[in-house]
Amino acid sequence: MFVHLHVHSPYSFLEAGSSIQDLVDQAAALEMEALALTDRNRLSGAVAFTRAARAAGIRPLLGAEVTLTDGTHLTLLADGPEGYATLSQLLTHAHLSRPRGEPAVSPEALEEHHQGLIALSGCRRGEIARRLLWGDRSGALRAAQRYASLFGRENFYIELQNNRLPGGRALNAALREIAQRAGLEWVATQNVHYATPDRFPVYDALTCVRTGTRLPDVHPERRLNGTNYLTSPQEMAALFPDDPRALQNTLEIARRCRPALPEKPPNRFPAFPTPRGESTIAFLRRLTYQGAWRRYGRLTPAIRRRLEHELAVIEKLDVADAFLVAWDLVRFAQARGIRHAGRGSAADSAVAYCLGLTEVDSIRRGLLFERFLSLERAQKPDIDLDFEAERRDEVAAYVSRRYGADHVASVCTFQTYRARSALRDLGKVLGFSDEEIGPLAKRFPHIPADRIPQAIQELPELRESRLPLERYQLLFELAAQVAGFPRHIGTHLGGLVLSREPLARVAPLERAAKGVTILSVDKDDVEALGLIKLDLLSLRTLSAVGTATRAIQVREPSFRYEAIPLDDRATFQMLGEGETVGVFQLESPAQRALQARLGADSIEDVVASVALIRPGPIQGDMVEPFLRRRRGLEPVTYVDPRLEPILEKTYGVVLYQEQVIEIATVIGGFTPGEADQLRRVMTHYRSHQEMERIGRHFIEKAVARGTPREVAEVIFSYIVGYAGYGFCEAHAAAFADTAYKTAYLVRHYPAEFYAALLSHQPMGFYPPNTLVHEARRRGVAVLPPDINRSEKHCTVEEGRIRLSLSLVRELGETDVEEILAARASRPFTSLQDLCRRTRLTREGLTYLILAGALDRFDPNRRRLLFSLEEALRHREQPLTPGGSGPAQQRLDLAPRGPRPEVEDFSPDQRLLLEYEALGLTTQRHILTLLEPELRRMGVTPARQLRQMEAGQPVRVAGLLIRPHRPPTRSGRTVIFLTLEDPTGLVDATVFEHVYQRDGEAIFGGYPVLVVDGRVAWRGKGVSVEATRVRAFRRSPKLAPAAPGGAAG
Amino acid sequence: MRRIVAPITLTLPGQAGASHPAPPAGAVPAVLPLPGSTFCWRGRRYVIEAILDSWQEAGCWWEGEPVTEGFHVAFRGGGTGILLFRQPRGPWVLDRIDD
Repeated sequence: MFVHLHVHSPYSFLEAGSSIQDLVDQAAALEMEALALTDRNRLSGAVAFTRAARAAGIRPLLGAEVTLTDGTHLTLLADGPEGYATLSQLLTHAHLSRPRGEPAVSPEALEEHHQGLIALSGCRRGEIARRLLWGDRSGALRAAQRYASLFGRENFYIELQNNRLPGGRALNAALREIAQRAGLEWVATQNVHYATPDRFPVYDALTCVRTGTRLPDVHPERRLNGTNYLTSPQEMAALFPDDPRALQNTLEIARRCRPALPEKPPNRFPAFPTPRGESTIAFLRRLTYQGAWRRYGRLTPAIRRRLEHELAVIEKLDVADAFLVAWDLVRFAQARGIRHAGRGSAADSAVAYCLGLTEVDSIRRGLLFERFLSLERAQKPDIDLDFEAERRDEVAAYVSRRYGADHVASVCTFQTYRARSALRDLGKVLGFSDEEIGPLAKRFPHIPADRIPQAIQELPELRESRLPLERYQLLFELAAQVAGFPRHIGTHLGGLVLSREPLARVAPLERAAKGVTILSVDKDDVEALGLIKLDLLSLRTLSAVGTATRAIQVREPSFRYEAIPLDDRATFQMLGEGETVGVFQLESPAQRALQARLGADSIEDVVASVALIRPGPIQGDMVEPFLRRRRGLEPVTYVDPRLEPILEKTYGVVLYQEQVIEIATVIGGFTPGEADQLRRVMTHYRSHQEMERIGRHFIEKAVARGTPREVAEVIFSYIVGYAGYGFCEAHAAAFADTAYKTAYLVRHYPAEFYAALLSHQPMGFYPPNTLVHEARRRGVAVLPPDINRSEKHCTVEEGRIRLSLSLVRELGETDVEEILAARASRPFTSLQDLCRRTRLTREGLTYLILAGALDRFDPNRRRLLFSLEEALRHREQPLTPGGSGPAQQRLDLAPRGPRPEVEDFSPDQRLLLEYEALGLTTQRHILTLLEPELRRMGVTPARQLRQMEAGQPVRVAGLLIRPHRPPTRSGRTVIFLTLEDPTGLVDATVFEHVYQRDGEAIFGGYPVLVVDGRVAWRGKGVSVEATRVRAFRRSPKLAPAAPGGAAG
Repeated sequence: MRRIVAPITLTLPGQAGASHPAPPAGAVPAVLPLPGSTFCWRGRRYVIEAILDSWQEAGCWWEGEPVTEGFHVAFRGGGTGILLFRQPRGPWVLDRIDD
């Protein structure tokens, strides 16, 4: 019959209209025995395609349509694993030897890398077809002979296509003639760019996106028609009626090719260089026990048993190298004073603890190793290490040096279309202006593009908006169809892959922004290639901790972050009041509300907190029972006594993934590895029937071990209630350590810590303005930037935070460095001096003035602005030694004569302008401008809510901070939002019926909201249950300046 | 070739009558001006001798324009022309002629 050998998926970037799954499904529906994937200059879809094809019973053929340096195309197919490695190297060369985004294969590269490849002559942009279209028959024949000589006659085919283009018949006749004269075979392909004809419109629209054109525009890359789909064998026979050989040859090629990617990939992780004569596992064992002595002091039999168990699994899975590589990195970081912390399921490992990869004692916490690594799952270990953000790249550079640049690369990430990006790109194509599409796109929450139709129906901020939605009908339809299609390839923030053999043989490498070399395979597909991904993540919190620690040590040299006591009463008291703005993991409104109810008094409570505010516990109805039992309001009971040791730390509530594994082990008799697999299956279950089947399996095993059936059913209901969303306890414990310690810093060193948070933005939940006013509420004064005192980062001056120069708008990193460098020789003496000694732009200087950074020269900021022009003009006139020019310039004399009389900005104006310059205010809160009006409206300040009783009606208002809608137990929408006013933060809860009516106000982009509702108390936390939400639309009236510039 | 753009009634060989409904457009043309097909234009009867080339155009699909099949045909007795067929029901159009 026929096999398609020239097919593009969305990994050809804006050149395909159907997903890989849709292509495979259609090929299966057409009963094709095989399908090739030949994306443009990439193999990024190889793993997903192979997986999908195998699942559908179709043999996957891998290849690529490559661009040659002369601009022509060539279709290449891998005839097996060697061919795949060759193609991967060829594509790597094509990407790395050329400017980014312009890969091309040179004849020399093709000469070097062609073994194991079957080549087809390509589409109309193939050299042979192109020459024929130009009328150069002899040139076409020579090209055919050249390719035949390079690849071998049996590995090069002339490619015929019938996409119903003018001149197609004549071209195909000429191509056949060339083939016959050159002694070559020929094949028919359809140059497929989508699965079915109805996907042509979206493909055409994406072509416009790619070429920067609109639909009515003509462009040579626009296809004339929609025939580039997966045609059936019958259609191919009709398109090539007198040429069955062209169709038959596709089958012969398909049957020649062996699987390019093996079902079980080999272990490609590099062998760690161990001391001579010592095996990897022996070296790991030695290091583990050395670490164990350091950690535990005395090695009990239980500790030894645990370590030996883990080492045995590590040895059987042949992953000791991964642990040693991670240990080596941590050692490097420690030697250079780079802050680090382990996270994730690696904290389930006692070996990881002994090696210093994590700070979680998994033995003491009773954490199950099998959550991290098990024989049954046989997956590669996922080791995640956080490093302070600014120095993470030093660690990555070390990896590259240690293992060889050819053997290390960053993992890539694909930025794919979601609702907003799809609307923007396709909106342009349909001719809408940026001014129209921008606001429309912003109305949509961050949802997948295929949820656009649903969002329009269900979300009040769209339904009730005054936008003419029917005008965008076609746009919505097209946007929904590109859900998940890759748009760009970029660097994954932390993932690195290391390989024993040169990585280019495993998958193609290319260059991302900033010259980073990336493996062009998605992070989730890396393991299928036999690679292990190490996550070296940048955590700005660690950077903030480092900065704060250094600042604290200026006045308290003995302070050590690692030595912070884990039982500080004052810190727990602060947590219990929900005063956690700035605390890692515990600062969101939901967390603040939880802390106020929980009253944490131990690190265990903090661990539980991290795990509780997640979709799973909320949807699984765990939060309330946990809190009630924790506070002794409800008895803790166990339906089976064997559950007690597993669940007592969480008061009988299933909270952690490790607990599910333990329950399945103890009650159901599963091995820990089987239990972890069970957990994973439950996480990804696709249907109710599947979950029922799992339930029956569990219950039967439990009953066989003597558990009464009804008890087994109840126990299973605990696990099902959690399914899919529970948190990994090890990860929670790892995070809790940092969460508690940052809380300690907030409580005892607020100036240093908030200065550090402000220095490492963007980070955390709250914007800088909120952090500044939180610091002020804690009694820490905040000083505006000062041209002669401020640094690149915020600093602490006698217990007060001095804002940095970096916070000033329009000042980039180089500007700040220039200021600091110039200032190093001597301080600036005037605006004119500053202008002369730096090349700051007019905008940068303006914002420095408005931020108050130049108040030392003249407290009248308006007058400073007026003199800016002259100062800039003097800068443009270069000094000529001995020449003419005002004597003042050469001698740096201050301007003579009285200062011009200029009335300064009013206090209100200064406040607004400060906000514009810094994005925050340092003395008064920006909302004080609205205070008279808000008072007239009967708004209650945030601070006064604590004096009110539950159920009392109240009106609150403030700057809107990050409204969000987490998933809920009931499935109905609940919005949590925070309003900030001059006295503090107010949390408000908006339930579904209010959201349906007022959602437009919440998500319409309004900066200030007014919320009517009732006071709600939960534990020590107070909030407002909203009954009405409105946008405050009036812009603030500024109080007129009094004569002489005094406060008005 | 001269541009004509005139609707015609194409009679396929062995068939009397006007255009017929065609199935939805795919890669394979659902209609063909087979050799022996005839039409009349300006009092003269044309007989299709052979199909020299064929193509398909998607048109301005975003404005609802239908798919058009195009055929470069040779006439019995000399001359060629271009016939267009708008999916799904036509009509046939004599687009150009070179006689």
